[in-house]
Amino acid sequence: MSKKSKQFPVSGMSCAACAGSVESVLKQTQGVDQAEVNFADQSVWVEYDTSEKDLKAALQEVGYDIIIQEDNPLEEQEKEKQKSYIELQGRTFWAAILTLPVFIIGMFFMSWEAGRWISLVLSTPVLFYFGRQFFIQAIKQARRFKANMDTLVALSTGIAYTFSLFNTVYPEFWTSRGLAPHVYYEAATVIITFILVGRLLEERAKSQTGTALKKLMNLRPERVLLISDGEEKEVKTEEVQVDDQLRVRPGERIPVDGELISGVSYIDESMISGEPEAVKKERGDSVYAGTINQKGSFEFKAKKVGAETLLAQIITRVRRAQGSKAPVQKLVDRIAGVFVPVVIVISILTFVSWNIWGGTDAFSHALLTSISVLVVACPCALGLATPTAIMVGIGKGAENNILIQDAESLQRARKIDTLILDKTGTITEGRPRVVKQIWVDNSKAPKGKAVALAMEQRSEHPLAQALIRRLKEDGITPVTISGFQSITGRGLKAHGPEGEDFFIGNAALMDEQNLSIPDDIQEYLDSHSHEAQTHVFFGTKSQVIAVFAIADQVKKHAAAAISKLKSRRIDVQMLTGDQKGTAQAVCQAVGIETYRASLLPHDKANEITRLQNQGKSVAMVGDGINDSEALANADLSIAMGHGSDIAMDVADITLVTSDLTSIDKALNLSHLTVRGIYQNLFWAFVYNIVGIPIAAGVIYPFTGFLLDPMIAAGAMALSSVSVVGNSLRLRNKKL
Amino acid sequence: MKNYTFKTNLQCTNCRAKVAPLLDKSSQVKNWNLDLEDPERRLRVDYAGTDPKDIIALVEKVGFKAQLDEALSES
Repeated sequence: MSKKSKQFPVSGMSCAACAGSVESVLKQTQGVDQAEVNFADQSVWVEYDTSEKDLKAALQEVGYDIIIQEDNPLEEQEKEKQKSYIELQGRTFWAAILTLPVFIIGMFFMSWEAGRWISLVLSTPVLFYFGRQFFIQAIKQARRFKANMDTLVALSTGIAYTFSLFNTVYPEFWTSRGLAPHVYYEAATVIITFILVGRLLEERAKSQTGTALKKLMNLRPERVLLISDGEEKEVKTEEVQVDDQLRVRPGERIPVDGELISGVSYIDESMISGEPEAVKKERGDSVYAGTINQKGSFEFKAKKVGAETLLAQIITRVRRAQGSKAPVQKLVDRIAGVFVPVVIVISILTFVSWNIWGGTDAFSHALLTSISVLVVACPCALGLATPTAIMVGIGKGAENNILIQDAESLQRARKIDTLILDKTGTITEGRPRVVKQIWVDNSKAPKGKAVALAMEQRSEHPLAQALIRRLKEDGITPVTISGFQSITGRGLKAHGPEGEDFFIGNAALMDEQNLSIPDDIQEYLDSHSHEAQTHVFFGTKSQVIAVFAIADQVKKHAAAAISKLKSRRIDVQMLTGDQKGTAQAVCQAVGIETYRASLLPHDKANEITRLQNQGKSVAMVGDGINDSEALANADLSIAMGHGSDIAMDVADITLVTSDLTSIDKALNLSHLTVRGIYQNLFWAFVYNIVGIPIAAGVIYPFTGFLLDPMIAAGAMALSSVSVVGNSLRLRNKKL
Repeated sequence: MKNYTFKTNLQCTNCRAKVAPLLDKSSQVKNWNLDLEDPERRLRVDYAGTDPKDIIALVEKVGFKAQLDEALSES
């Protein structure tokens, strides 16, 4: 192991002597050259050539501990992945470049003598350099008497290449016996190239999931303000211990879970609840790592740190869910497992039969026919069947604003029987808006609005933004007000331009100020009490003069989209972090019968696992970080395009327009794509079923006809063309 | 059984907690006490072994220093 030096945070040092103790214990440890403790920031710098675990163990034995950051190995892994992806990209690119001329020669200049030699030179690196992984994998499989797609690729391209090589170098072997030597370089190279392209698409999809975890980790701030002995100092977040006092300034993220001890603020907890409205926090309230402090600075006491925080748990669960997702065994792998042995058996039978009943020249006929069987069986079209359909499917999706990140998800989507929707941002717009304003006396509205806007602009209440937006849309400019006062938990008070009193706030404030509510406003309130609305009142000192109804509105096409999904016999349910009343109102509006409210992120994920355990195939649609765990767990995950990056990274499919009707389109696309794959497999096999017997020489006894090169090449080309053509047909389908 | 006294650099209860298990475990140490109020942080040990250097080695094992205070030790 090479020598490394690194700084580690140390816990358990309470005096300078402890620091000395840590230093000498480390120095006594085998493999440690240098150790220097910095007692002030509770860390140690070590020069060592042993493992970090050994350092940790040595200190733990004595009663201290060092914190080994786990982010680093993940980053390394990420780099590795990135590197192999770039490598694959290069291999695919060069394989394609070399394949093109080979393909042209093989298809159109078959009888050109020199063309064979050119093809030989070009195809050798394609197979054995750019496509070497297939051969390596195939050998590994063969050692365990197994066959998969790699075996098929290696076998067919290997044989096609070797046979062609022999025929290029020594065509006289066949011509002297009255047989025609054919070359099949183009078949070999085209297969390698196409399958490399398929792998590339797959890898790209996989690389997305890693970035989701990284983004989640970045939600935790690097450094925090620690308060000790009345002084503030900046320390690394990892060094924070339980019961430490920390300060959070406006706009900062909360570093660890804890309890607020002084100050008041609004915190954006959408990461946990999915709700866009910031939540008010006072002394005694819990705050969570990764959530964002909006306005106001406060102090809190750390309660849970490191891997204990809610954020860390979300990260662990997302990671676990992604790792545990059962790999869908590819259809082609399954087919190959059967197809390979069958073809080999047919080839052997052909060889044996010719030797027994072949008459004159039995051996050379036997050799030619048995090899022809293997070559004709070459699954050029079989290899194309899935990737082409999926490529077209993905393209078609993109045209319809459906981004498909995981190709396999297209195959899984059609099996979905249960669909879980998140509420905020998925069914609703995810942004509170003023949906209705009623002014008792319309002539007073313009002046009133100007005062209201001026007051709201000074407010830090989350709903203020909704009012400000609406009033600005109405073309209002604020007036000068004085005596502004914020009445916590109630609303706002101020003097208008002429010194008169104005109030904005909830019903409790109006009640306190003894403001009467006029009949037409009361009527509106009564008739809308079952809706998920918040009412903000605006009053002068004698009576309420207006009311604003604020709601997170249900999306325009939500109800129609849900009824369409239901007509597919999909059980549509809603899970939300919001309260029951709101959840019920939204469900009624869009026609969902089953819902669960007040859920934490892991409750959503557990609910999905529960449904899966009942044998259901579950799709999850969501937009927030709080949905990411559930998305990772679901059989099919769909993210909303306007949502958090993390949800999109985790999800198999992203709906760019956040339009729910796209879900139905995505499912349609899945059906079409999978049907396309099956049709492709049919076309790939039809030619094999006809071609193999001819190659084996079944019709030779009747017609004296042994596989004609034109027909062999033509059949191969036709099967590929049929497959590609069939896949392209998908493009013209309407979703 | 002899009584030895050592000057140490143990400073706080946390330090004491590091050496305590080793002293408690040793079959040769019958009794010990560490005076953190003492400016020299004296460690007194009733020791059944022969060489007081063993005690020093024990303290050094967890990374602290100890020195025999000969004036206060039985010889």
